[in-house]
Amino acid sequence: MRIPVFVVTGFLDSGKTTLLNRFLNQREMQEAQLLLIQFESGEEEFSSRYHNCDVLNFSKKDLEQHPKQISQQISRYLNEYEADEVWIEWNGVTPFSELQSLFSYNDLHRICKIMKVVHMADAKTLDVMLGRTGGVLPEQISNCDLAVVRNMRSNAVTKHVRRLMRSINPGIETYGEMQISKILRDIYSKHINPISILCICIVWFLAAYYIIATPSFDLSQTPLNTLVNVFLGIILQAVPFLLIGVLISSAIQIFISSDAIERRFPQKLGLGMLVAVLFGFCLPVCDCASVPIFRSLVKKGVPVPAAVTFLTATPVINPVVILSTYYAFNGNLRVVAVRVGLGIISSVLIGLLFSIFLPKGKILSNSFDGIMCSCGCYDGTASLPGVKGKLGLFIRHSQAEFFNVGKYLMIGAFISAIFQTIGTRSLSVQSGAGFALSLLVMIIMAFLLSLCSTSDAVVARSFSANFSTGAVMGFLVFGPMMDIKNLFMLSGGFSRGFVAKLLLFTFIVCYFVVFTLARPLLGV
Amino acid sequence: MIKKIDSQALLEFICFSFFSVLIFYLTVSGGYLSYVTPKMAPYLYFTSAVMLVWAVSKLSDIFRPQHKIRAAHCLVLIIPILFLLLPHSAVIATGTSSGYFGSNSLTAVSNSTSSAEIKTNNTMASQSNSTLEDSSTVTASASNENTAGNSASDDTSSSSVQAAGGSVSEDSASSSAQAAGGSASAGATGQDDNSIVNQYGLKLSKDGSIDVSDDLFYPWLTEIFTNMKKYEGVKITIKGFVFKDSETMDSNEFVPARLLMWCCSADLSPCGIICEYDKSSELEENSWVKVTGVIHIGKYQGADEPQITVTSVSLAEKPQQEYVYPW
Repeated sequence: MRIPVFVVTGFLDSGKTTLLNRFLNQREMQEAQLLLIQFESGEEEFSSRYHNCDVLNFSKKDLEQHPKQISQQISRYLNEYEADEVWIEWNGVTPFSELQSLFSYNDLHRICKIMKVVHMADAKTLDVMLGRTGGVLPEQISNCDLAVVRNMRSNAVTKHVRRLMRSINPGIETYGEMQISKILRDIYSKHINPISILCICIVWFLAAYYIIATPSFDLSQTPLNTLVNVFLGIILQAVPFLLIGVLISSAIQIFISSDAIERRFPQKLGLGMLVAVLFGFCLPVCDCASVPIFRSLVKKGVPVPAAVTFLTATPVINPVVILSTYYAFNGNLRVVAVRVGLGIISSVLIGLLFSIFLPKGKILSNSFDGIMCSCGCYDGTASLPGVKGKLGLFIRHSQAEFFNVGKYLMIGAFISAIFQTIGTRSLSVQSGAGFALSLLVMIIMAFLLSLCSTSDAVVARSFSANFSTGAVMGFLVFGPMMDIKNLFMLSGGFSRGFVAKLLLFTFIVCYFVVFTLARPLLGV
Repeated sequence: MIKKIDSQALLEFICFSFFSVLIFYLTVSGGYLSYVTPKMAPYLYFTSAVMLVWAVSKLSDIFRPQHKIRAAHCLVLIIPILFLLLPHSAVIATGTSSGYFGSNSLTAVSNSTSSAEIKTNNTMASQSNSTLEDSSTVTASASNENTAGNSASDDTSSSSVQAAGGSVSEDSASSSAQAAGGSASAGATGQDDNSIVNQYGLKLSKDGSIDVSDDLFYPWLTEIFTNMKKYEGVKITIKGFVFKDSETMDSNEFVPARLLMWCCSADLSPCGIICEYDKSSELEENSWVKVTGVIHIGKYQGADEPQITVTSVSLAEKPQQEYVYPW
């Protein structure tokens, strides 16, 4: 049985020592033999009321220069004196990973184990600290098991702090400093390994699948079978392009500094949009890829109108789409030209709308880079030495982004698979209706089906039996810009207000552009 | 000895490598064709390679234990892996959302490939009095040309039809595009359109009949729809599953159909040639049959199209690759 170690992290003056004074001097604790290790000496002094707690103190300098000796010193102490619990007050400016490496030296690793990590923060200063202190604070928060925040004076503040904490460390509980008994219950509760939960879920899923699947002798007759096939079809179609997208966007994120983009990217509205359209023209990717790239462009300070133009133009006008449209429509250059032309017009108009109704406040849902936290790359990208370090960071970043965007792709693909299995028949009954209505039906269809823009042309072509080419153009222009899967991927990184605005603008612009221009241009 | 392993990194490593191997296996074995078209193959290889690199990059992290462990994000890979491994069979016609295809699957086929050709063909048909003898000689010479073309340049030939054909998607797409464009122009000038025959090396049997093989179902279909006059009165043997649509077909009609995949399993739609057969109602839907008959030009929803007068129907084996692909 290893000695349990409990860690309290948090910035200087966040109230760590006060918290420890409260925890370790409770009456229930007086029988236990405790050891407190401090890596920081703040203004508040720790004092043990029942004299059952020894204190070891290490300076930041020691920690940096002789981590191994510190580790040995602690293990020597623990071998000499019995201790039931070890508590650690960790320095607010030293990364949590250093504590972990301290505890992974063999002699210490053998006798004790980090059980729970508490993060202590002050609601009054949290926002400022997060903005100023670089990566250390988010790293500590993302590694904690629960957070204790003081000065949560009003409900609004409590809500804000909770959201902030969750955005860095999904699913953690945030307590006020007075909820001592709740905090202690959480600290001493057994830690369940999420991997075991995952395994249990998989077993349950398999069991359910077999129970549903085996009684029906012919599986091929069930909608479930169709659903599985459609879902896998969309996933296998989308994942390669998503990979291309996260690789490009991670490359932008890691290898290009914000300064360079800000300096080079034209700040003038018109020129910026022109560059965005040209950029979109050159990238052979579909909408799964443009969303992550869009996100890193916004992060790097590209003006929102130009970035939106890029997001909406790329999936419609890139070379692969042009080629597949050309093929699907039998080499009809007019359809290809109208699709590209309307795509450019719409995306520029959407960009212009965004320059008029510039979004207030942050459009990124996290006030700082959440992905940077989850992939463990906390130091500023500029400070990393050499190509090798950047390459490692690039790989970790792209993985983190893949998981991050991928989950929304899964949800989007699943929902549109359901629609495809049950839903589309009722929509196509409307085929005989007027242009205004049939265009609306086509746009909604494009939204629900969530097809990859590199191959939606052939599907659109199949609608031509029931819909006029003008209405099908709505499918071709709107579908790549916005659909269920994009909506989910966008909502993963951007504020709800921004995503809603984007959806609204895209819909209105596409509808009116296609409604007014498609028929004259197509000559029908 | 207490383990010093970061289980999250281990889990991620397993997911990446498993996904990589699975995708690679699916692509090599052709199993991916149940979900996407052959043109996705290079992209899937790319996916497999990236996953492999990611898996390798995780190796060094495995022995660096972390306190905080997350697992839920791995579902992004676990869910597709589970679904791919779990038993499920190919989609059948009644399972597809055939709302937009099913009611007029045949015109959908002809539309999507060559509606322009068919229209021009219909109007021009009276001018081009091509006979069977003409066509068979043309076909023979065309197939010779095709084999020559094959040996000369691989990338423009028709390797995209074969399941295992690893042709780069853009090559096949562009060559098909050229073919489509070429056929449209050929149709417009009112000549016989041999581009499909040339591209896929379609051949009549020795006795002048058409024996549609599993691999060449779709090329034959487009060819017969495009040049239907040429094949009027020709004997044909074709295999497909029995597809009926009571809304648009008479009770004595059925289609020996195959499911056509445009880009992924989300858009499967039945395609084939309508057969007139008195005992159509006795045929069980979705069972695989081999139909022998003679091609005639009939009417479907007001438009001319090739149909088959059936002489015999026999049960058949399911083809190895159930779906057909337009490229």
